[in-house]
Amino acid sequence: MDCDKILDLFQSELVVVNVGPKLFATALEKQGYRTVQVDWKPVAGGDREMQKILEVLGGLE
Amino acid sequence: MEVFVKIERGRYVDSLETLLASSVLNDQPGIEIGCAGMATDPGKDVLESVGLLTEELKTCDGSCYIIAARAESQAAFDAAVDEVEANLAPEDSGDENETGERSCPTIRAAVAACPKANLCSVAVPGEYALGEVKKALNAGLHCVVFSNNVPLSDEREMKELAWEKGLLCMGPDCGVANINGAALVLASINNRGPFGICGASGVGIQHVAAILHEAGTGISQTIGTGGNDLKNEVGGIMMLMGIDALEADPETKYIALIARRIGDLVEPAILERISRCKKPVVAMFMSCDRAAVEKTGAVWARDLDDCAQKCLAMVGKTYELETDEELAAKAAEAVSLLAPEQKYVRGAFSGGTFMDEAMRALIPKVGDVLSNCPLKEEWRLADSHKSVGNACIDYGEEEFTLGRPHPAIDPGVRKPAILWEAGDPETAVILLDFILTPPGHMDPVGYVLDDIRRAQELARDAGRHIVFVASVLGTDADFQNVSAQRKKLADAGVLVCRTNHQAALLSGEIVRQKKERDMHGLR
Amino acid sequence: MTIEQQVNAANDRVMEILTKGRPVWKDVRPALDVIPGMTETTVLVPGPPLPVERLTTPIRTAVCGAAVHEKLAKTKEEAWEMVLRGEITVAQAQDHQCGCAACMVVSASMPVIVAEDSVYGGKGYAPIHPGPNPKCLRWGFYDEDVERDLSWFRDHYGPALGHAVRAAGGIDLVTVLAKTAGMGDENHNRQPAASMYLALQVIPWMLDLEDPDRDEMIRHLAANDRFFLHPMMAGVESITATMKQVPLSTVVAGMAGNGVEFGIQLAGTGNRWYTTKAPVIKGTFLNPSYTEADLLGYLGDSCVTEVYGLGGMSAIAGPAYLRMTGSNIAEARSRTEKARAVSLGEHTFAPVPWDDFKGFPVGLDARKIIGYNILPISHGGSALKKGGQGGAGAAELPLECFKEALRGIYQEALVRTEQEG
Repeated sequence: MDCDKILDLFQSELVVVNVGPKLFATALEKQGYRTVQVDWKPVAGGDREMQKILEVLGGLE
Repeated sequence: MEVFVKIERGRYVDSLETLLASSVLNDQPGIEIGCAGMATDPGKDVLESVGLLTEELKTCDGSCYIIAARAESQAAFDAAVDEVEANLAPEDSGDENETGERSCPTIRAAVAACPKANLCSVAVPGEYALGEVKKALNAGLHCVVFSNNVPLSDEREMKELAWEKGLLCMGPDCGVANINGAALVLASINNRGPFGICGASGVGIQHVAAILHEAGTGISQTIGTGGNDLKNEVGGIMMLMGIDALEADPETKYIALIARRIGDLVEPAILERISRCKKPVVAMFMSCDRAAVEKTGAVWARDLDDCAQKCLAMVGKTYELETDEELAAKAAEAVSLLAPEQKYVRGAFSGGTFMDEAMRALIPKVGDVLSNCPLKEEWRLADSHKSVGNACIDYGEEEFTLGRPHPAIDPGVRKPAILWEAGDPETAVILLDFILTPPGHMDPVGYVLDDIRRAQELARDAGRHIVFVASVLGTDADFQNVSAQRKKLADAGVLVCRTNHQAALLSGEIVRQKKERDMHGLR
Repeated sequence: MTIEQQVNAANDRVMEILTKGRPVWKDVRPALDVIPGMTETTVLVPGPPLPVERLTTPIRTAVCGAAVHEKLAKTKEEAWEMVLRGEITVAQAQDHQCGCAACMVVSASMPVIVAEDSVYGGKGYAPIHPGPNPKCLRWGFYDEDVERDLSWFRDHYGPALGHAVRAAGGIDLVTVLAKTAGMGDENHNRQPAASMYLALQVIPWMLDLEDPDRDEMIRHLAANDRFFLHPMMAGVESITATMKQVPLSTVVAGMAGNGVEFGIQLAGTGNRWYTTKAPVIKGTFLNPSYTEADLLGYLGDSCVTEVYGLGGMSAIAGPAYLRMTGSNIAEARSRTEKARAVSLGEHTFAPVPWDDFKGFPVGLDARKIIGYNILPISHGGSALKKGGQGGAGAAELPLECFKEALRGIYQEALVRTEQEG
C-alpha cells in the first residue's frame, strides 16, 4: 500500500478535528495539541422519519 | 418527594457528558434519584425504569435534552440543575477561550477553519459513525474512531474507503492510539522511542507501551485497529495497513503486534504479511499457535507482559517483575492476616481485557472463577451484583454502565463494588485495576481511597482483614502520574503490583495458600 | 436527475429570485382594484387558515370592523352573523400576495401598498401602517375613532401616498435597505432609519398635493418610524409571488401566525400551509401588569420580513431591539448565526459594520432547519387576547411545521417521480 499520507501525518504537527464530546479535545489541548471542535448532533435530532426523508431530499453536508 | 423536570428542545448533549451530568445530579442534596439525557426511546426506557417518566416527558423526542429528578422541592431541583450545568460549562467556555476558535457545525467547516487539520477523532453514537468517518476521510483526514456498536458492514465500508485513500482509520471501538506523541482517545502519555505498536486491544497496546516507557525506552506510534478489525467480516484491513505504515516509518525500528482473536479467514493474510516484514516483529496473538507465529520469523509472545519483555530484549533492556517466589512470600504474609471464613478473591475491573487476563492467571491457582463475562458459560454469575466464590466482575459492561462512559472516565460505576465485596465475610482479596489517561478521572485512586479505608474498618470491626491488591496502568508522563497513584495505594495498605497479570497472580496465590492452610487445619 | 438534484436545482432558482429580485414600491390603490381574487365581501386576515369560529377576539373585531367600514353590516354583531353564514368571506392575506401585520385585516376599499418586483414581475400588497396610536384596527380595535382614521386613510392619506410614490417613479426598497445599512434597523420590529429615509423620498412629492389635509398627512408620515415595515412586507410578497411558482423548492416562501396556529409555506408547494401550535413571543411587556397568560400565540404576517432575511434573521443589524426586549448583543449575533446555518444565501446590499461588514442570511431551507435541528428566530410584537399590543420580543419558529413541510415536499417529489417514470 502507498503509505505516503500516513508518513505525512507522522511527520507533521498533529492537528485534530474532534467530533463528539469535548472531553477528548480538552485532553489533547492539555497535552499541547491544537484541536478544532465539531459540535456534532444527530441529523434531525435523531428523528428517523426525517432522517429518511432527508436522505432523499438531501441538502445537508 | 416529587418529580421535577427541565426540558431543552433542540439541545444535543452526548451521552459521555449526559452521564457525567447524571452522576453530578445524583450527588446533589435533596435529590433522591435523577437522570440527565436525551429523550430518545432508550433514554425514556431508563427514565421509566426509575419512575421518572412523567406525562410531559413522554411527549418529548430525541431532540430534547432533559433533566429529571425526584427531589425534595423545586428549589432543590433548581439548585441541582445549576450544579449540573456548571459542571458541563467550564469545558465549553474554557476551551473556546484558550484557542480563541469557535466550534464548527460540521467537519467540512472545521477543515475550512483549520486547513492544517490532519486527524479526526470521532466519538458519536455507533449508528452515525460511518457517516462522520466518510466525511472526515473525504476531507483527507486520518481517523481515530472511539464509537462502538458500529455494524461490521459499516466498519468494513469505512476501512475500505480509508484503504483506497491511503488514510488511517483506527477503530471503530478504538480505545488507544498514540500519534506523534499525542495520547488519543484513552491512551496514556508515553515517551517516544523505536517501537511501533499495532493492535486490536486498546488496553493491550497501552500496557505494552507503558512498560516500554517505564523501562526507559518508548514508542514511535501506536495504531489501535479496534477490536473487530481482525474479524472475518472486516478482514484485518487496518492491521495490514498498520504494519505497512510502521514498516515504512523511519522512526519505527521494531514492531509489536497485539491481538486477542483473529478470524480464520484473516489469519493467513496477517501471518503472510508479517513474514514479508523488513523490520523485527514481536507478535502477541492469543488465538494463534506459537509455531504458526514463529514460522513467519516473528518473535512469539505468550501474554502482554511477555510481549513487553520480548520487545525490551531487542534493545537490551528488561522490566523487573516479581518472581513466583517473591509473590509467594508476599502472599504468605497476607494470608496470615486473614480470618478463617475469608477464602475468596473478588475482582472488580474497569474493562474486559484486564479481567480476562486476570481470570486466566487466577484459574490455575483457585479453580473456577465466576463472572458476569465468564471464560466458560457455566461460570456465569446468576446475579452480577452478588459475587459468589471466586469471582471477577467487569464494571465496563452495559448492565452496569447503562451506556455510561468507560470507567476510566467515570470511575463512579465501580465505586460501590468495594464496599459490597468487603461486606461479604468470605471475601479475602479484593483485586482492582486502575487506568490512567488524559481524558480520564484526574485521581482515580484518590476517588476510592475512602471506600478502601471504610471497607478495612468494617472488616476490622468484624474481626477480619481484607487484602487489597491492585495495579495501575499508566506512565509517569500521564497527568495523574502512575508513581503517585501507586504510592497512594501503597500508603493505604494496598498491595500494589507492577502489572495486572502480577496482581492477579498474587491474588490467586493468596487464595491458594489460604485454601492449603485451611485444608491442613492450620491457623 | 435524482430527487436531491431536482430539489437543489429548484432551490438555486428560488435563491436567484430571492437575491436578485428587486422589490419596488409603485403605488397605493384600493384593495379591490389590485389584489387578485379580492371581492367586495372579502376580508383578508393574517396567518394560516383557521375556521372562523376559532378566530381570536382581536381578529374577529377587526374583521367585523372592516365589514362595518365597508358598510356590509351596520354593527359588528351583524357582521359576525354574516361571517358565520359565509356571506362575508374570510381569506388568508398571504394566499393573495398580501401581508397583514399583527391583527390588521384588509377589506375592499382599503388602500393598499402595491409593490412590484422589477426583475421578475411579481406583485405584492400590504395595508398602510396606521401610525403610533395604539387604538387601531391593526391591534384589534374598532370604534368611531378607528372608523374615522380608516376613512381618512381611504379618502386622503392612501390616495396621497399613491400620488407621491407614482410621481417619484416608484421607490426601490433595496435602495432604502442599502442606504440605511449600519443604522441599527433589523427591519421587522425596528426601522426608524429606513422609515426616515423612505419619508425623505416621499415627502417632496407630497408637497404639491391639492388636498387640504396635506400638512397633516406629511406630519403623519414623518411621525411614524414604523412606516417602512408595510411597504417592505408588500415588497417581500412581490418576491415570494414568483418564488411560489418553482416546484420542489424547500425554501421558506411564507410564514405567519393567526394567534392560535403558526404556519409556513415552502416555495415548492406554493400557498399550501404547514401549521402547528403558535409559539408565544418572549421578550418584554408594554405594561408591567401583563403576563404571558394574557398573550395570544404568534399573530400576524409581519414575519414575511424574515422570509427576506430581515428581523430575527438579521438580528445583529439591530442590537438595540434586542436590548429593548430584554436580551443582548451576543444573542443578536447568535440569532443571525443560527439563521446563517440554515439559510442558502445572503443579501449583500446592506452589510452590517459590526458584523465584519457581512450581509445578512436569506432563504431558509427547511431541510437544514430539520437536519441540523436549528430553529431560526422571528422577531415580533405580541397581541393581547383582549386586543392591543402586549409586548415585543422573539419566538423560535416551531419545528413541527417544518417537519410537516418536508413531508409535503417529499410526497410531491414521489408523485412527480412516479408520473415521469
